[in-house]
Amino acid sequence: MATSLESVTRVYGQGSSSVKALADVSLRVGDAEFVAVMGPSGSGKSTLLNVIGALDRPNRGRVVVDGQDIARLDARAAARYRRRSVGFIFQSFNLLPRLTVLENVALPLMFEGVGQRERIRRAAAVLTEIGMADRLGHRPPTLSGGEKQRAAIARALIANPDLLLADEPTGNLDSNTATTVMRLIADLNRSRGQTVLLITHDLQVASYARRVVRMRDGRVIDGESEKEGVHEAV
Amino acid sequence: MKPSDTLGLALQNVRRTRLRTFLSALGVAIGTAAVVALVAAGNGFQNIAVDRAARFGSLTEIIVFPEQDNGTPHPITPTTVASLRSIAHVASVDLSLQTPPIRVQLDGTSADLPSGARTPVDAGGGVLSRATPMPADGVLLPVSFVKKAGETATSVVGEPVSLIAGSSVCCATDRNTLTVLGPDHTFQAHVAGVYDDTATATPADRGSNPSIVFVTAELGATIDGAFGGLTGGEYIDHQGYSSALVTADDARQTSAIAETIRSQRFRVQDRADLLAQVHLVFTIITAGLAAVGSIALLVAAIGIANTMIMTVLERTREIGIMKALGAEPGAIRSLFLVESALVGILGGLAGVLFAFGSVLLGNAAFSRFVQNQNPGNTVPDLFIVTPVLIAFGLGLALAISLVGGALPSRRAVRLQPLDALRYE
Repeated sequence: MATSLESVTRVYGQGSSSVKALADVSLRVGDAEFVAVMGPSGSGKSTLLNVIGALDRPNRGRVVVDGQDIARLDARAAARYRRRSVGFIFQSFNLLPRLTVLENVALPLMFEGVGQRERIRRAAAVLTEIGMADRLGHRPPTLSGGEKQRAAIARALIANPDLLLADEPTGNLDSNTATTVMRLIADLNRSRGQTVLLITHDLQVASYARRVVRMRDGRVIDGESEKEGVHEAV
Repeated sequence: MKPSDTLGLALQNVRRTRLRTFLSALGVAIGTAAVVALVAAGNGFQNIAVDRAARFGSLTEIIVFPEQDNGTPHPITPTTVASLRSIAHVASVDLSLQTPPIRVQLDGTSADLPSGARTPVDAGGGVLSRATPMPADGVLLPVSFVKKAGETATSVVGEPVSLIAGSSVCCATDRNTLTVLGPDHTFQAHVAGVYDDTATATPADRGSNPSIVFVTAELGATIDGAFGGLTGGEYIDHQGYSSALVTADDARQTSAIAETIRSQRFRVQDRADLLAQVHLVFTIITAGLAAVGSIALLVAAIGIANTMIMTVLERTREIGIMKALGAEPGAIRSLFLVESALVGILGGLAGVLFAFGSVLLGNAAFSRFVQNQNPGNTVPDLFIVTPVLIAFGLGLALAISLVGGALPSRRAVRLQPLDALRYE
């Protein structure tokens, strides 16, 4: 899914205490591309991701996803866009602790109005695909960090979205688990052709992407062209 | 999101916070019970008031008069009487006929008295004696006249009596009686009974007009018909009765019966207005009682609002996750409103059950109290719970819980997904 930001500005707060998280950012992400966004804390990486995912609205500029300016969507249309077109993978997993893994993964389909039997079937299939078949009935607090993130990835994939947005997906994982998770994301990018936009501080993690975008002080400073290959995905 | 999924999630959340749900539902239960019990009491008071008022009799009585139907007289004939008697909840139909003043002659004593014809002739209070069976040519005499004739109330029953109507009979004593012009006619009759017209009798027992001679409607028709050369039957078929007193078996049916008679093109007088006023007063009292009970429900609504605001705060992050995963504003609103509604329904059911039990106990205690105070006396229920009242109680509990949940659900809907996800 082709995504482009055109002169996007996002300012938090007002007056002297205002913070410009994104300053006139323009960026284009091609269909099925795997892009890593790197930069120091406060550089605007997460804001960029949130704006593309319609979790946040820019003050100025256009965010065009598949020909549609999602910055202009009302709350209902934005929810529909997130549900059908975007899969979020958060650093802190954001699983609902009182639901089982299966129920967590099936949640986006519930909001879509899919019947219980069908959504459970599809959730079980995705969880099996990423090697979580033996954890369907577990609740998140009983899972390891890697398992939680894999469950979160399964949830992001359940609606088969065109765009995967991952905000430091390995931030809470040890290096071995992080490698497993990154291989999974890279495999999904290749096998499913989903566009992946990933935020990371970690060069090792960024090496799985085909392009690295660097940000500083709310601006893109590097990465408009494809990288020469820090790390080849396995 | 499907309604069944909303309900499932809401049930899960309600189960997860059992104590909080119980306490909120308890508030609703107390409010609902108060409303149902107070309205039941209002219903009971109304019922007792109507029941007592109906015992005065007048509330069950309808007076029917003949009506002019486009200039043509529409009399109360025997056919009409049969029709009146066939109306549902009609207990009796008493007939009356205006008759001229009559000279009564008994044992050589005579008196000119105003007269009235009615069936049954011994209707009304203060009857001291009566013949069994009642003769068709019966006369009910005032005891003052009977004493003047040297008889007693019991000795005179069944005795023959002569009645004279005509221009020689003095009619100046009562300006309401008909003035009859024409030769005197004499009619033979029998004493059907004696009533108390003396000053010692209470006004109610003495009747509306003391010292009247009452004759049966049949005899009255014969007397009236004689002046036109008609038999009694011919006179009634042609002129009809002056009026009919229709008595209902239940005061609450009076209006309906009056309306039925009115639809048959007769003029009707009833006490429906009085009964309507009694109903109105008690409806206002019942509404007042319901309003008092509603204060408790209002407090419960504030409790629900407080609980749900706490719930929204606690689940802010969860709301953020749901929004990030594509939950639409309507789904979030429905989820919190359904949770509020579940509390309302639980509380409402408990409140109605509690009120119902209290009402049963209250009625039993009231009945026992009345029996102790007035043995053999029965009274209607003090509290009356109707299916409509139960539905009203449940509906009110549901409405109040939705009102209580409206503000918190609005807050949940207005939460920005990003702010909610970052909430600690």
